Amino acid sequence: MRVDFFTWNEIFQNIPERIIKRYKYYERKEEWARYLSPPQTFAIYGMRHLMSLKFDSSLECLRLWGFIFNETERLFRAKQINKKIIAVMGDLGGIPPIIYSFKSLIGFYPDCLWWQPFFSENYNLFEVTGKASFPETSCYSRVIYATFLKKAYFPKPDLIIASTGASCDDYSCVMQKVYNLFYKDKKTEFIWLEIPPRKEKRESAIKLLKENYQRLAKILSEITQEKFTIEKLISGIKRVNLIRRNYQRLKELVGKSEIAPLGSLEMLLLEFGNLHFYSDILEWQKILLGILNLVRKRIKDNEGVLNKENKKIIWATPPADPLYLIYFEDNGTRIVGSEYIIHQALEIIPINKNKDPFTALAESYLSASLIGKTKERAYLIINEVKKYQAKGVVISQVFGASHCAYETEILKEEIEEKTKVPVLIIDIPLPSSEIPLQTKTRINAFIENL
Amino acid sequence: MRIGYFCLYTPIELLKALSLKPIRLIPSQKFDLTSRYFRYDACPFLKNLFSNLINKSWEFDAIFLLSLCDGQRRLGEILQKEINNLKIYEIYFPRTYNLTAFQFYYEEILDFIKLFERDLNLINKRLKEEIKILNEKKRKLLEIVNNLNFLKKAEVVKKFWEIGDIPENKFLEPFASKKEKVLFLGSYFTPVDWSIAERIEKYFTIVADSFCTVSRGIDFYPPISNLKDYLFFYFSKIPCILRRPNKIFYNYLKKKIDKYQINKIILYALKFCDAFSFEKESLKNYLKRPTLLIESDYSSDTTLQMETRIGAFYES
Repeated sequence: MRVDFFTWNEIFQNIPERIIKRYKYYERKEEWARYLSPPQTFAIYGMRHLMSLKFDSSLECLRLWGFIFNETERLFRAKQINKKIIAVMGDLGGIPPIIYSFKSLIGFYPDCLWWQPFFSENYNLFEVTGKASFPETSCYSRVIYATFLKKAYFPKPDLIIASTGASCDDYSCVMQKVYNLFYKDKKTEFIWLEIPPRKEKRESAIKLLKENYQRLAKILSEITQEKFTIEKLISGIKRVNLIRRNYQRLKELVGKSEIAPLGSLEMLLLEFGNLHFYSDILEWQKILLGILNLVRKRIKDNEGVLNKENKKIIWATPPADPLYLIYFEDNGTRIVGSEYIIHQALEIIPINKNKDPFTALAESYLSASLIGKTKERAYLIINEVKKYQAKGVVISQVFGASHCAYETEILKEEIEEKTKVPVLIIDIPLPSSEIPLQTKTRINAFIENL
Repeated sequence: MRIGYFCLYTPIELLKALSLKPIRLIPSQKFDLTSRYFRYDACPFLKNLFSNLINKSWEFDAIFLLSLCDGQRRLGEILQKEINNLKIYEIYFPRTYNLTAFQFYYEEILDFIKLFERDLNLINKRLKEEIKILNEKKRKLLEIVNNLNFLKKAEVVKKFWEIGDIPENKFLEPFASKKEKVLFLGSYFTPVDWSIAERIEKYFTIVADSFCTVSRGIDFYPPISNLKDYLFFYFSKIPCILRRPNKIFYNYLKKKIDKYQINKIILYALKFCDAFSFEKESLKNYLKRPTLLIESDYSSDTTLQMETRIGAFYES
């Protein structure tokens, strides 16, 4: 069932204390490690946008939300319990399998905080970047710089890994600015890694990525003073693969099912869980498994969360404002597939006895959404359309984001030509509690034509 | 074969050693027609470059593209869709100073060379000759343009890249001005932007610049060496704001500021050019000079406003 924020809070009141106490992060026993809180808590902390959204009323999803919104607290706690904090920027998915091969490391993507101003309906982080003279016509990811300045969203990292190259310009500029903040700081090491493009000849790119990863493993070993072994990496990769595999199963079940067993907002959060597992891989594994079982049960019971008649669509590029997903669902569509520019974080890392695990990581990363030709990204979307028999595609964009300026029309053309389904392109504006009327009209017209 | 290019990292000496004729693409005109594959927030330079290609502003057979920014990296795919019979060579140039990334670039160049010539010894021999010739020409050019005002310098350097022409010194008037000195830097600077420099020079003297189409292109001299060392020079020594980290670029600016005792900086960013528009604050902090950011999308609507801002900067 999908419920509004207020109903969601009422439902929470009925959860027995013993269940609330059951869920703890970092496998800790202490009371401070609890993360299941009333949704109201997050709204009071500033996540006002929650009041405009709709949520899955299950305990499994409540657990998901509690876990995600607890991440800031969790990162500060990690520091207190002597974990080393690694901020990973730009590569979106390639590096965490290495980080999570070390017991005392917690890796996270500050990149995901681009949702922060939207969930809080607050311009404050944009104002900070404005004061630093960042251009208004650039990707919303610019707020990440502000989160480093504010020092409230995550503790000071022990290491920052910034990846750039065959990637977007906006975030490369943001990382440069973050580098400027840290390069004199002896306590925080900052390393740059190159993201190679995907070309026909793959050997050089694999070699480059492999050397990146080997270098990184060495640095991490020095930071943790923990010996790095190939066995540890293999076991780290296996853990990550388990999560990726379960997410793939979940996505297929949700997308192919006659009914909609889960809403798109939760699916978005689950997909992004593949990046850094919201800073606690073991607990994330359990949360994901819980939702997978819930979906299986719902399919068996023929219990959907949306109207059965809703038209199937695919969503490309993650919407900065989650309200758009809800609006589409409320108005007759169902998002069955996605290409949220993190394809590299969804692919199974191909480890086997004959392959060096660094090579496997590199090969897996070469499936990244944005490192190749736009045509190749279009195929990812086209595959989703065909796989889930979608009736349309929505591409959400950010005005001024470098890749959007060059890829959108090619994507549209390729998708329309190969699938014959309509494509709607929308720009997501700055944080607001409402979708602009003109955009609503365009969305409604698109849905009517599906 | 005539081959067009625009990025400063293009190994021109190598292109010549391969018996290709490199032509630097510095558009002189602004056309309104552009490709539908560019969204309105695409780089104005790339859009105008495309329009100039369609309008046949240059005669060439192929284009050599590097990948310093996202727009450049994606340009090849758009050109492929829009222009028939244009050979496109796309080479990945690293953003970082990672040595394995250099190796990646080096291998890309080797593959490119193989398309024209299999004898690497021969290429190395020819390359040394070409480096020597171009270095000599650039040194001579630098001597000449050092005495010119900024716009004349931009014009002479443009001609040099286009047709290899170095004018006689006696035909050029040396320039002297007592106006306040500024450093002028920013996005790819073409004749379409020259009116901005004219406006600046109403109030200031542009004594130094770091445009890759003006000074930066003739400030660096690769060693007369083998292919790998030569490419490594391009990779490691030539400054560009897009490289990560971009400290070498800042050091280059610092030297200019000290050499010419400059008090103010004017940063020119094309609309949606992240590389420069993100850097205003860093320039101000690192170079410790007042910095004015002016933006343009080649539209004439903004010129009056721009002049007012330059005037206010002069008074401040």
